[in-house]
Amino acid sequence: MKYLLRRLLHSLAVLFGISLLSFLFAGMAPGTYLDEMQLNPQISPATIAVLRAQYGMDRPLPVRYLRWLNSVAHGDWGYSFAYNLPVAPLIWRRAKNTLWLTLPATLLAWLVAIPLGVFAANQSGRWGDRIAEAGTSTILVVPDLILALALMIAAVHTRTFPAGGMSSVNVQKGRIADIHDLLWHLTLPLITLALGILPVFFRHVRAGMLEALASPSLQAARALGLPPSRILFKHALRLAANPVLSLFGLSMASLLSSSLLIEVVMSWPGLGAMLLEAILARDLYLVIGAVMFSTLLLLAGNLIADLMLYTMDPRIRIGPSQ
Amino acid sequence: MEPLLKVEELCVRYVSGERSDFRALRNIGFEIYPGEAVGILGESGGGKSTLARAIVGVLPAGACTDCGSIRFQGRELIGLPEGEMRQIRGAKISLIPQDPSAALNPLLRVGTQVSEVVAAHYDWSKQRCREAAKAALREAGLENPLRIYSAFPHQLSGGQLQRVVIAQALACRPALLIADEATASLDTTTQAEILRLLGFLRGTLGLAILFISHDPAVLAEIADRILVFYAGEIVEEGPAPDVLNSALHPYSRALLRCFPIKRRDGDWPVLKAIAGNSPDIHQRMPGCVFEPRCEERIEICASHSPKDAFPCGGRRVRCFRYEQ
Ligand SMILES: Nc1ncnc2c1ncn2[C@@H]1O[C@H](COP(=O)(O)OP(=O)(O)O)[C@@H](O)[C@H]1O
Ligand SMILES: [Mg+2]
Repeated sequence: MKYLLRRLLHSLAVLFGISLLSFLFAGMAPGTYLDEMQLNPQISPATIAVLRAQYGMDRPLPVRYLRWLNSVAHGDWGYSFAYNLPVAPLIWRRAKNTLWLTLPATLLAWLVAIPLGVFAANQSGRWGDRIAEAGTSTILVVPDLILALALMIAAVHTRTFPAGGMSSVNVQKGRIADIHDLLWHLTLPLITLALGILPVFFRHVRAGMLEALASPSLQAARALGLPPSRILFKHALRLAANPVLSLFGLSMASLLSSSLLIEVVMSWPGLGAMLLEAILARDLYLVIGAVMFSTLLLLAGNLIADLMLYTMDPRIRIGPSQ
Repeated sequence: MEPLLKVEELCVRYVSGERSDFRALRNIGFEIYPGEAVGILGESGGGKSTLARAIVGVLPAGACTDCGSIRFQGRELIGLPEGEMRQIRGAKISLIPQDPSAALNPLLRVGTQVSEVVAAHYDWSKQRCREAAKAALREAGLENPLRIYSAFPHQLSGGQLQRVVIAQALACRPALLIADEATASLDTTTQAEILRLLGFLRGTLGLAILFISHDPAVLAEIADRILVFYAGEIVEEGPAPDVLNSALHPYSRALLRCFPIKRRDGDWPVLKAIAGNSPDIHQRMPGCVFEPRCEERIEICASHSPKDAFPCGGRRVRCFRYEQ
């Protein structure tokens, strides 16, 4: 329990640190959204001054940070100048779309990577291993952009899947139809994203399995005449889970950045695309909100990984008892 | 009497890695009789672990057995299909690995890891395997087998882990136990306890033991007969007291000077390290393996390899000084 509590406190500290840093950097960046408004002759300087005061933009940075912290504590994540809406619902709407894309994609990538990695490690050096290695290496060297474009071209030519967007324009109403339409649009970006992250996962699983299989404890197990299947699944897979779970936590962090490209190319209305726009428009609170959200996602991923490590590894769970 | 294990002309080479074509074992031959305890003495790097793993058939991927034969209970083990070899490992020949703290899977309960050995060799129910595992733990001298059974490896001490590993190895009543530096990582008190346990089990189970060590004092405790290993060769063989008290081969004598054991006359011999390093067998010149470090070399040693000589009852030595 102490272990988990420590991880939780650690996460909170990271959250604070990131919020401070993003505030600092956003505050140091030249210009704000309001500066650009000033260039608009239709908006009177008085209006802008009012807005400035209302958002506290005339105050020094530390004051603004404390105000922001205070409002976050009350569930208010600030206000977007560009959308003229509160930040939290805005982010959540887009984040939901991103999660719809990234969570199934990671799940799919893991579901393929784990059996493939176990198989390749078991076949180490033989044909099965080489084919899996060559296949994933090929995917790894092809840039995500090319991969996305190739799949889109294929989709357009065969008319099997839509080449972009998240829903059809003339969608029939009804829950089942909606879900069907979403899945139909999801397929292409999902496969692209999953293919993009698959090689990295695969390599980690394979390396973890190889290391486990070569460990002294499994050599000892082999010398005791245990059946190969038991050594592979009961012993090696568990030992390999440790490094792989750590990667799982990190992979949650890269989800947003790896999905950004696909969101833009395949016009998936996700958080990544919005964050990009917000940065360009200097939409301060939206940027900070989006950064905080991706930090939360990372921390959540790490916490889940920690929790799984905790349940898996008796050395963490129980500790030495003498 | 038929030997339990008969190794003849065994050669093992490591073909992969940076030192490819490394001959780790060269024409090894020896026998072990039922119930006998044979000690293997030698510096590290001499090929002792390679021999242990070759007998059990778990050499690493880069190793290959070039020639020779390993007969166990009259059955040739070299070339035996993996499936049949697996039924011998852990059931008829067991290997206790070098480091007990690394030999167990840290994520599984100790009891699971003992009972799975039983389950691998007998078509028994889970319950019966569990009972057998508990009995094996008790037999290995663990006082509270029920508590140990459900403990994880990191909760046990080095001596307890060693006993667990012994329980694994003996759960299926093998005829031969190979212990590879089994006590090297333990403190002297625990080491003595484990040696006493092995001696006791050997008596009660009629077990033959191949005990590998770099420490003559340990072998003095347990071995009936000693083989001295140097650079992948057996340079000397003889009854334990004879080898330990009046070694024939210059290497054996030099090694025994490094590790003082109390001699029969009660004197401690003078400590003296062997000059030079264990040779890189790969770059070996013709001649005796020990020649470059030998203090008693004669002219022929550098150009010819000595053959086994049998100077007196039950002794064998590979040195020109004893050839006729
Ligand atoms: N997997 C391996 N690949 C290549 N060489 C090895 C391997 N394992 C051991 N060796 C070499 O074989 C020699 C004998 O090793 P080993 O049998 O472990 O000796 P010992 O147990 O007597 O210390 C050493 O010189 C070592 O470098
Ligand atoms: Mg060794």
